Amino acid sequence: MTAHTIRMSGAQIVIHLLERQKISTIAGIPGGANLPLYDALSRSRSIRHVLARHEQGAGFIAQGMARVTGAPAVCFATSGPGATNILTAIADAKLDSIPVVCITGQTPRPLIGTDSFQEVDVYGMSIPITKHNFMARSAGELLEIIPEAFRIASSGRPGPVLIDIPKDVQTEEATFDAWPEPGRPDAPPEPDGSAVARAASFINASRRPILYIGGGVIQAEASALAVALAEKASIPTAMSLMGLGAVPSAHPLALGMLGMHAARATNLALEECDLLIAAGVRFDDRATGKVEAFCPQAKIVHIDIDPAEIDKLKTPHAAIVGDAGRVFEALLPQVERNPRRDWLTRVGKLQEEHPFARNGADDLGSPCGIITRTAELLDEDAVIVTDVGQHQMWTAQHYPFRRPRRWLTSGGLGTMGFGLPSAIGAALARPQSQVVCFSGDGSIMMNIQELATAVEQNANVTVIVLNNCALGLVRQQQSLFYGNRIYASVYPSQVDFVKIAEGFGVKAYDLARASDPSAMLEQALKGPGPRLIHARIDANEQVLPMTPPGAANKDMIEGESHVRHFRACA
Amino acid sequence: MSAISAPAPDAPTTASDAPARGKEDRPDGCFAVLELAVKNHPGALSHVCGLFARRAYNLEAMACLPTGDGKISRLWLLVHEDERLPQVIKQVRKLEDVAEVIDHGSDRKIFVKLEGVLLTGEETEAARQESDKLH
Ligand SMILES: Cc1ncc(C[n+]2csc(CCOP(=O)(O)OP(=O)(O)O)c2C)c(N)n1
Ligand SMILES: [Mg+2]
Repeated sequence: MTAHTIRMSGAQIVIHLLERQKISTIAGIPGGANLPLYDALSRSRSIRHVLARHEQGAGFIAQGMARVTGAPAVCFATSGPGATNILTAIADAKLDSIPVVCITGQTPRPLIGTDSFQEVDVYGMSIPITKHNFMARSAGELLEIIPEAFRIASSGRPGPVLIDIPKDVQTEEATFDAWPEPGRPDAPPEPDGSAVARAASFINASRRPILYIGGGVIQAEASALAVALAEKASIPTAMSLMGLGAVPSAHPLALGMLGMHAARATNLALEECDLLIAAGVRFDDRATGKVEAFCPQAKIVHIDIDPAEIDKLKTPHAAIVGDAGRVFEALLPQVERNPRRDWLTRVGKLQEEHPFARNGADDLGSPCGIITRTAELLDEDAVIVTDVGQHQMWTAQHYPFRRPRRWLTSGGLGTMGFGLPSAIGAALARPQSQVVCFSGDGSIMMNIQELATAVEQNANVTVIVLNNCALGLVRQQQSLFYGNRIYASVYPSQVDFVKIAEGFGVKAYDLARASDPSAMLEQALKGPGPRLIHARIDANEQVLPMTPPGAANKDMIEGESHVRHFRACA
Repeated sequence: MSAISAPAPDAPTTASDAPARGKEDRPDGCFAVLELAVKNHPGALSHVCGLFARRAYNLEAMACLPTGDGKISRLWLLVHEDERLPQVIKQVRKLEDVAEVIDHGSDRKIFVKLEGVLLTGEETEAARQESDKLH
């Protein structure tokens, strides 16, 4: 007879395995079906729990932690409504390839399938929005499932993993001899040498190359290598929304964001390039515009860790499956130094002919001015978070991103409500950094309850609400593409965000009421703890230029022809 | 989970009204048979079927049998071959519950046998031996 040395409940096993994964913070909300987990968590000495006010908030807090660190972060929800509430944050993590491990409680095994209280098929519901999911059917299985979940979440192209654990599995005891090793990412595939050589020969033969990099480069911690490649071969570099920060925006080769709200010169340069080196990107329609018309003259080199991305939307002439950093390392010695004066001059000319309008850069009453001034007041370690809407695109356009993993935005899913809880997560994971969240009056309302969490955690988060009394991005689309028929996108009632913030115990500032808005902004951005800055902006401000949905990126509109008489916030 | 499902949705319900299907009106090249090694647990088939459903890719027929110690099942899928198939196969390969994907191209022996069972009600000798092994 073998004497098993360890005897523990499923819940204790989970918490112990999370400790072994070096998890230090878990965001969540308890309920009947996950109380055994919470009871075990209450006895952990190394994990602190962050009590969110809505499970979606908990999911985004975990995302915030994962996005700034790159390591998987954990969130908890109970069965039924707790689980359905957290799914939006999980879907968001899936589309942006963020490693999150979500653990939900479930009805006890004998009740599964009986429509019992707070039973929903979270396993089934989460299949399409997770990288993988598990239903634990015994306490002993958790010894395999938990490390596997961390391995899967962080390997290759990262993503969320959900583990559904019935309550009686949490209380069931298992006996075993030894703890499994913590789950670690698999080693990335070795880049294929001949593919690398082929890609290098394309780069060396190219006269007008452009590097197009995205979230995969951030995930791979390959920003410095991307810059090295760009510099060695003089390759102008455009970034997807998710890639911003990979190359500092002040770098002479940085073209900023490409696509729907890019600088026109950036999209026009892409139109002229003869080689597109795409790394850690998925040719999203917001980036490419009409995909058949994207980079019409270019050969394509596609670098991605996910083989399914290769040839999904564009057929590459050379494809390298691998970690962006290791691929850049392999390419660098084979890529020839080349000043490419003609091409850089041409790109410079395009930028001169189509300067990026920074209207109101000096005006603290305009979005561009507020974003620009905020950037001046922050150091390069600051983390910039956004919600979803015009304010998000203005931030992407005007904020001078300086470092990777300091820019958090909901790219793929575009989830309003992402901002505040993700900012809290970022602040918890990087207490030494200042975290600023640009939000809108629509988005902030979607998870405003997390201001309470921010206060409790004394999170160093400053929310700047750009208030246009509207669902601005919707209003802009109606204005440009629906004959200016503004409908259901303007808020008739005024909300006093300053009072609301104060009601939560958050220090609040109203730029509109300041005699010296610049001084107020400066003061508001100093000091610890959560703060909210309210800025009233003109509802007629638009995000421009813009590629109309479905159009080619070369056909951006400026919107100047449009009648601008509608005033929502008169 | 050793379910065998008939060709959807135009499947003949009785032998008498069964139109001649397959080779006669659809050249072989239009079909592809995929053979998957899948973890045998209650959610595994959902992962596979859901992936095809989300991409609006119809599964014409499927057959699934546990193998060895029952931990792994073999799943055969009959699908129409179109330009989306390579991408779908890549996505199937990414599923954690799928250990292996074999593309048999248009070789659909296994389904031809099944069709024989459905259309004539007669089990072939091979199928009988196979089912004897399972009982
Ligand atoms: C959860 C969710 N619901 C709806 C939308 C559609 N949507 C995109 S932007 C937007 C308006 C956002 O308004 P606000 O946060 O005030 O930002 P603004 O555009 O005014 O800067 C809406 C409704 C969405 N992206 N997410
Ligand atoms: Mg708004």
